[in-house]
Amino acid sequence: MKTKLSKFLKQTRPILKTLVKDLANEYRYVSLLGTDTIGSTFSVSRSGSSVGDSNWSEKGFVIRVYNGLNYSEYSFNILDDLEDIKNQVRTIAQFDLSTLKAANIKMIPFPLISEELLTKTFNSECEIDPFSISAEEKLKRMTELMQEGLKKSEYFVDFRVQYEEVKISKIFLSTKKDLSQSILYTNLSFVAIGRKDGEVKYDFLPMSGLKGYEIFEEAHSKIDLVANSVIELFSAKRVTPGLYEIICDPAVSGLIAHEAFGHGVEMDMFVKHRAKGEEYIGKVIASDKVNMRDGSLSATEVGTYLFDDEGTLGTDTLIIEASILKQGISDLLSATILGTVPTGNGRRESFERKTYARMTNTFFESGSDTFEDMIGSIKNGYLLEGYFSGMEDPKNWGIQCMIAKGKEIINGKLTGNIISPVLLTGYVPDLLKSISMVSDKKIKLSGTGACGKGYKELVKVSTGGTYLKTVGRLG
Amino acid sequence: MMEALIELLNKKTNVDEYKIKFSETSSTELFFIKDELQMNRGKLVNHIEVTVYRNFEDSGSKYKGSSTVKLSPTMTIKEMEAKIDAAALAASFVKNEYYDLVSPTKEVAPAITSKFNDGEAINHISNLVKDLYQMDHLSGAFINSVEFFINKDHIRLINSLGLDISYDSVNGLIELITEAKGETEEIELFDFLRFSDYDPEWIKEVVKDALIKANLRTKAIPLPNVGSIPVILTGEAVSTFFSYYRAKASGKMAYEGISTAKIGDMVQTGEITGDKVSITMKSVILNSSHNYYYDSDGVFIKNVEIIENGKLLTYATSKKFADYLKIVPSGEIHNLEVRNGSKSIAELKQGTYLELLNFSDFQMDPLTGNFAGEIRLGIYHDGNKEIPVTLGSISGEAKVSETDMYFSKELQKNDCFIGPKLIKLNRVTIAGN
Repeated sequence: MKTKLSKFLKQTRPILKTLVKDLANEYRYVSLLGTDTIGSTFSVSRSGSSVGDSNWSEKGFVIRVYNGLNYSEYSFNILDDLEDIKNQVRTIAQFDLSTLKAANIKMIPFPLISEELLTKTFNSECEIDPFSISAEEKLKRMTELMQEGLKKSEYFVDFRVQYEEVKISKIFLSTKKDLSQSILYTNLSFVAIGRKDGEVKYDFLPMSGLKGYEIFEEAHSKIDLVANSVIELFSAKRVTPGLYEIICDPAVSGLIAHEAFGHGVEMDMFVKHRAKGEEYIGKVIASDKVNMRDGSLSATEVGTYLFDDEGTLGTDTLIIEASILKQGISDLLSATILGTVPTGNGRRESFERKTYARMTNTFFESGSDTFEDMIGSIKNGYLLEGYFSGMEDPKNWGIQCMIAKGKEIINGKLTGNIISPVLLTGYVPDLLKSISMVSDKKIKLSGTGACGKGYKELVKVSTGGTYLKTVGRLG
Repeated sequence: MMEALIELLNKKTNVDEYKIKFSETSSTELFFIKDELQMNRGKLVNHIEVTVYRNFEDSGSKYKGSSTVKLSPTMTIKEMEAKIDAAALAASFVKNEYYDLVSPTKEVAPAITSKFNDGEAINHISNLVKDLYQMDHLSGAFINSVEFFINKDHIRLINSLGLDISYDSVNGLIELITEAKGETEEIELFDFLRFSDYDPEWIKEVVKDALIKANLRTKAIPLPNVGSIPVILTGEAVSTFFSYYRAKASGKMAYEGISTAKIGDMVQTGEITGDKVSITMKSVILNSSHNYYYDSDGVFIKNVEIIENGKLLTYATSKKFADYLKIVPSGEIHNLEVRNGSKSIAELKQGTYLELLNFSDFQMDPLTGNFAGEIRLGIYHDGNKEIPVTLGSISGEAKVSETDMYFSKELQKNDCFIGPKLIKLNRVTIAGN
């Protein structure tokens, strides 16, 4: 099934084109992004259930104009009065700017955006339209999954099932561009929570993709994975802090790709000289086993789109190629001032927020080692599985990853001993240069969560990869 | 439009009860690189959120289902009706234990004032810029970049029991990146400031503190293996640490069986020889960005003491979970006041210890009490010298450290938190280099 662009955007497109055309008489660059994202979230837990609109639901517009020096933006969601909208744009781009200048606030001049004529449309495809399935059926299916999960252990106090369906519709209009896209994705996740001897342990299992209701078909087989994981955590011990040989599962290697390196090559950070990556373009940054990609076209997952929120077509960026840092990922304005080519990574949390250079689908590519050889090669280390969170430090290349658990490996064999929780920290180049084996398994991506820039600006991304062997500091 | 929506909801036979939250938000936003403006933005948006409820009985028990949808101001009443009908249908399949909506209150909320409400927002934000940059370039450190946001909200909350309240709020946000050049490399520190009123002296103080810390980080060495020594948390990590105890008093977590703490129980386990936790949730804290007299259901918020000397006094919770637990709802409150401890900073800073000033992201898991963070800046006090340190990490468990932890007598105020400036913890795992 092909998704369709929202009727609202189709209907308002002529009015919006008029608005862009009118403003283009006053400003040398004008663009407008229109969004109409619909979606629902469903959750079922032992204490009850809930249904509501997805947090990603939004309907509104943002206009960007060149104010003569740099760029000004106005976000709005009422279309009643075009004159009022134009006046608001004038207030921000002229009156507010004059007030700031009068207060002796300095301005950075930005070059004028140059565009080529472009008209394009994209509609993602899925098997079963989730919006055609009743809420009753979804809740019934989720309740069955919860009940089955709860049966897995007498120690489980809850087995939460969360499901989200989102259909994004966007149009981008400027004097040269007329783009539209409609993308549908679903997320499904389990959170198993157990208590034994007063200790609470939990873990989650995510499923995601540019999929429809068919996502439920893979759910049943994954209940045991998350249930067994929590049961294992009951016997977990604290790790003795130190440097260990580690094997990262695809989730953890994705987290490292995302936190350790992805944030560090977001090129709006180059403009602010906030990223060390800027100094390493063309230089060795990792072991020769490492290839890393990001891009809306790098994979088909929740970070996939035709064009970004500045109307730049999405790409597939090879960030690290056989140890060398090749290039970063960029939004349009950063590329304009850096004199580079934008990579289609300019993204907004919503029409109400500014654009930043952001990741999309980020991962380390597969290698040639077998998983068995990787385990067999470790004398004293851990297989790290799953994570709770991560935090970047692009300027100083520190990394913090909260890992769900580690499975002990001694003399090439898993001992059955578990450590949890595990904090993986270190210096990014050390970690990447220590990558000595990369598994030949197919890349696995996951995109149930969201990525922030600092502590805000959430966007939907996917991360993952394959198994990596490296050396990391665990605490 | 609101009146038409209310009329529509009152007529709907498939909606037993409803709640509407209408908000109008305007913002002024400035983005700086060093001290130069990169972009300015503004927004004016209306949001309408409708929750529809269905009440029903099954096997002699009462239940309530609900569904919350967002309505766009661009929708026609007919389009809104279609969305409400879909939500009502979905709500009829949601089966939760019955609870009542919030009834109108006779309590009168005092107005929450903010200087940002007087005059043009662009002038206020322009003043903030000047205040902040007044402190630039200190001890070799400087401001790398700043983002300023001033949001003004007008909220109206209505429900089918006759509740109809309106209030205004302001929340400000500054993302501050400070940088300093060391002998071999440049470093940065990240601060995220939230506020609701114009307080130039506070802004200047925060910037000064950030620049001093940035400079200190240039002198930091990788944290050596210091063994098992006491750890002192400072700043935001202190408020994050107390989130574990706040979660123990969460009515939602108690109802879900995740928190097993009963009213009257001690929330700190074992024989307590150190300080005991005392927490009060507050409707208003000076300059907090979470100052409200009503929660999202319309519960009138008053100050409520939830933990006194380590003992759980009551659960803090929404109307729904309060009904389930058969207690008076406190409403959902974000402001937290933790009572100060028994020792002064000077008394706590004795002997050998690791003082932590800045983390990548200090985290406390409210379910398990596990806490951890990678160290961006700390000071290792070896008994004689003070050595700035970076890298390395700490991790621990609240229940392992809570028997003999100590809080400072001196207090800090950080957005929606008032509490001790420092916490001193034993038996924390320190991973050095």
